[in-house]
Amino acid sequence: MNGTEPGSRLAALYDRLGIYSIAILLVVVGGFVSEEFLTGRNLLNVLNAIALLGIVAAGMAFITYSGNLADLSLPSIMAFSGIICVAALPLGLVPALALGLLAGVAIGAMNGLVVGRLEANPILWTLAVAFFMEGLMRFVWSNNQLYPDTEPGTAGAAFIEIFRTSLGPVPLLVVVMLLLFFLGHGLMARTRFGLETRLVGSSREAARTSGIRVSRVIFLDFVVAAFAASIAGIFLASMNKLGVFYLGKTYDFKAVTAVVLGGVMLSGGRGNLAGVFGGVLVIGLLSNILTFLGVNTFRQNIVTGAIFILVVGLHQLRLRRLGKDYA
Amino acid sequence: MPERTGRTRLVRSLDEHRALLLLVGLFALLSAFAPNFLTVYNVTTILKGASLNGIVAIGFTLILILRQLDLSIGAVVMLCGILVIGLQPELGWPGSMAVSLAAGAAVGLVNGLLVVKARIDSFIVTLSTMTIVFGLMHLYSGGGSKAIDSFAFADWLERPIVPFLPPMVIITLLLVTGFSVFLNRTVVGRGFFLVGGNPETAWRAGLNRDRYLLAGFVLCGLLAAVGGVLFAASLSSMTSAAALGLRTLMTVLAAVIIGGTVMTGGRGSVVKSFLAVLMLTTLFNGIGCFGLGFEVQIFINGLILALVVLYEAYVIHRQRVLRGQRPDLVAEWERRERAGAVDSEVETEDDESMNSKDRFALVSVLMMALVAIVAIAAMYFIHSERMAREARETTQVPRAPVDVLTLSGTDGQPLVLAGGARKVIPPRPDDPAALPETDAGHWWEIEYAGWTVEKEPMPASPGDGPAGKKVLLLRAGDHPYWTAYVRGFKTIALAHGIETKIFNSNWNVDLQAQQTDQAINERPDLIVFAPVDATACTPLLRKIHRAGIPCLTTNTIPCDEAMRYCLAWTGPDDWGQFRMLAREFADEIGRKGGYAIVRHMPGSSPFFARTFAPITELEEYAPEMELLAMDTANLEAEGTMQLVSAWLTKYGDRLKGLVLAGDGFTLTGTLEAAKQAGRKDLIIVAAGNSKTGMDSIASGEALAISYQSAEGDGALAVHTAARWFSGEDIDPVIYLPRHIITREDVGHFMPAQW
Repeated sequence: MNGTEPGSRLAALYDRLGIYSIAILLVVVGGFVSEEFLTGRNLLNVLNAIALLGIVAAGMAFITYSGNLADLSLPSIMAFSGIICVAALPLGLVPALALGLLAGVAIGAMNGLVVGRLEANPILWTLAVAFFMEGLMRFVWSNNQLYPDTEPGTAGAAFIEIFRTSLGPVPLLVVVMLLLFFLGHGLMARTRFGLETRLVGSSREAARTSGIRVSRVIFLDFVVAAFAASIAGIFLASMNKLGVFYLGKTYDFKAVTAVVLGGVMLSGGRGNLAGVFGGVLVIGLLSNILTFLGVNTFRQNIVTGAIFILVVGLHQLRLRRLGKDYA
Repeated sequence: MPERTGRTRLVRSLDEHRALLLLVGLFALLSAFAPNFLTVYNVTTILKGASLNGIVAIGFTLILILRQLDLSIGAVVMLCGILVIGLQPELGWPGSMAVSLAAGAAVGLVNGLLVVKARIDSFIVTLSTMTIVFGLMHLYSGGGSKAIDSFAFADWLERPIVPFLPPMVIITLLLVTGFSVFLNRTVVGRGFFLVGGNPETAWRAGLNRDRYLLAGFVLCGLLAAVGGVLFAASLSSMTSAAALGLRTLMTVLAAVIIGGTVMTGGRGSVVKSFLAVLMLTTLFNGIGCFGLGFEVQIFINGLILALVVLYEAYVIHRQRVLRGQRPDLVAEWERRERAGAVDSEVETEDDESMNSKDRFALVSVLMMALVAIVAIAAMYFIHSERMAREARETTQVPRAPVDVLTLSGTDGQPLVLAGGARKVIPPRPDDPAALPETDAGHWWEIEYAGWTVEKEPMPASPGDGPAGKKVLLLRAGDHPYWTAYVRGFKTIALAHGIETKIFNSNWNVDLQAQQTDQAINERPDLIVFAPVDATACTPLLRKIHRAGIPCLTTNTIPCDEAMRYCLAWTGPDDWGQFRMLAREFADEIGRKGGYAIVRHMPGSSPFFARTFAPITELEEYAPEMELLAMDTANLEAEGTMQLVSAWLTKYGDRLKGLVLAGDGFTLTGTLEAAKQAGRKDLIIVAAGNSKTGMDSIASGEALAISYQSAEGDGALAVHTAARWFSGEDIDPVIYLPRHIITREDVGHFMPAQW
């Protein structure tokens, strides 16, 4: 590592900026692709398009950070909180929102308890919960979509406006996402809980022996993830004006992709939420640029997959050069 | 305390053989209670049904033993399946199989190299190769299906040569046995366990970890390819709908874990994985025998997996507690205690603290169970209340005989919408494939499938009317449209006095293939078949035909070849509706300017109908209109919003209107994008007709949607069956009436059916 070679200066820049260097690159490329790209309207579109994914990813990051890989039940948490919220609308908007959040968080709490206290394998347990919840939601609502009553003046009308509200030109959804990232970043980087999660993620055994209540920390991580997913689920239901069991599908894998792209190591304990935001941003920018270029979804999948593995590979290589690949 | 060790040993051996025990128990239970379960034909069906997942599970077990993960298996199954069928006409079976297997192995090799050389976590590597391989598969298939003309090989694969054992099953069993012997009896095979279970010892023993990992990934890719190739070959066709791959991945993952393989590496058994796959297949089959829906299947699947995961966790917890203890000494202490020697307080404290740990686990589990029970009870209450309400509604329909033409659906329209106009069929172009995609002739075989095809000899109608007949419905999957469809289907069946039973394949061709065999096993008077895939249903319909059971197809129009094996097809005229919609669209836009199309899911037939009907129609009707862009967003609102937003930015005012493949999430996403861009002038038409779509028509946000009655779709199918039972002549293709809903008459169709 001598900083005089131009190659390593680039690398040093990458070290400092992380995924944002890719994001900046994409913005530059986008500027060349289309004049319309660098307009406020378009960038706002990008933010709006990634906001739901961003919210889920912000929560998922806590699970990955704590060394528990991924929560595959997040899609069913999204669907469940949305359905419960719609179902509870006759009670009024605020109770419905509260119940929706509570329903999602309850599943998260269950996951946290089982994974944290009983030390079940997180991937398998959450997969089982995803199966279980899908069956339950299909059964109870007979595979139907649940529509709120949207007559003006009802709670339902207010509910579908949640997604459609803007603060000035910025949609509420984007504001909520930014706020969650801001709060989440603080929670992860500046609080005792965040530090404990970091240690648990780095080494569960070391955390245990240093007196951290590991199961409680993991419990809270799952609750945070479920809380974020519930918010996303409620926004999704509000956007679609209905609740149904398949809303939120595929968000599990999408969110892990964003989290890992953002530099949170799958082995746990490494990364931060600012990086995750960068990862989400890169996904949004990439898709936007490829659509501008007229690349269809099939090819977009290939390109996105390849770039994902490339970025993660380079990151890994960089860490190995620095001797930090196995903490 | 020998009895305790005895008990532990019993528990351990029960656990050791849990896949077998679950299988045997389930099998016994279903044999006793499930109708039509225990027949030679059905057992063969189960064995055949387990072969795809069974073969894939071998490779997945290997990967887990090595302490890695391979999420790309489902995508590899699909890529190799579609390759083997796509290349067969050119290369013949040996050639196309070689290429497909090589492709599978290549994906495995890439996975392995990235894990070994680039040292990226296998979860990440295979997550991205999964996306890439799905993309390649869609690129190769163009979002459609592939099929070949000859069934010779498929027939050979499926016909039992020994009772219960068709070659497909024999191949599976050979692979399972082979790999089991390899893993357990060879030095190299044992090395897999060592590398996965204890890398350091493996390293000290001189095993090359990298080489083992590479071999593992290549084998896993190869086995997924074998599964895909066999599956596609047994159907003589392959779908490109991603649901098959994703479900395969999830089912295999669940099965392998239930079979006792652990994610921490070093432990697992190929045979047990196969038994677990067999168990899940049996479960799905048995639940189908009871006529219960997919929701019950996935619920029970989740429950079993959850119990297994919890038990595994408990075992590890227990091991940790007991580590370093001397059970004989503990037993001695306890014996002394029981003898009344209460001498040490420290002792009892120790004992209690251990108990309290156990107690906490117990309490948590109990608490969860309690919450679950309360939740389930509450939800069951909601459910049964709704069921009772629905039952009240349906019982208002008087029993047969009744004039079914007087019955009306939830939208106030008649349920039986027969009399959809017959079509004028243009002559077939000499070589449709040679024409450009923008020429209507290119799509002739899909648009007019079934009108001119020469049918195989069909079973004769009994001619004694529908009353008392048994009809099976194989529905494509779960969707609110299908809930409404079944409502219409059941109401008319009841009115005709027809007994019904319904299977649900959840958009998975693999499951539909199994259910076809199951349906044949039930020997009904007629099967109503809703294809998951328009092309891949051909061998299934042929099988039904060969069993001598009359069959009607419904909803998705099958390809020409498939239509040879069924009496008729009933359903919406997707192409005709979209031609009407396109004209309405062009008139409003002024027959000039740019437009874009948001397409349906790849692998479905509307993916083509709802894209190329408007394109070819506008080419003729409004040649000055220009297609600016078309793409799919998988019918998701967020995805559509992103796509349409980008289009609106890119094309600006040049984009005058959009044709959408759906009026649900696709329309919602489009409207949001239009609103954000401030484009109130956009002309939007869509396939209908859901509540979301009709609300948008009523409020003027969208111009027009097609009228496609879900209840009418179901009613038409069963009504046609009734007409056939009465000996009436029926057309080969029976359309629902074509109609476009606009603001003028939208009130007429409210409230929405779904």
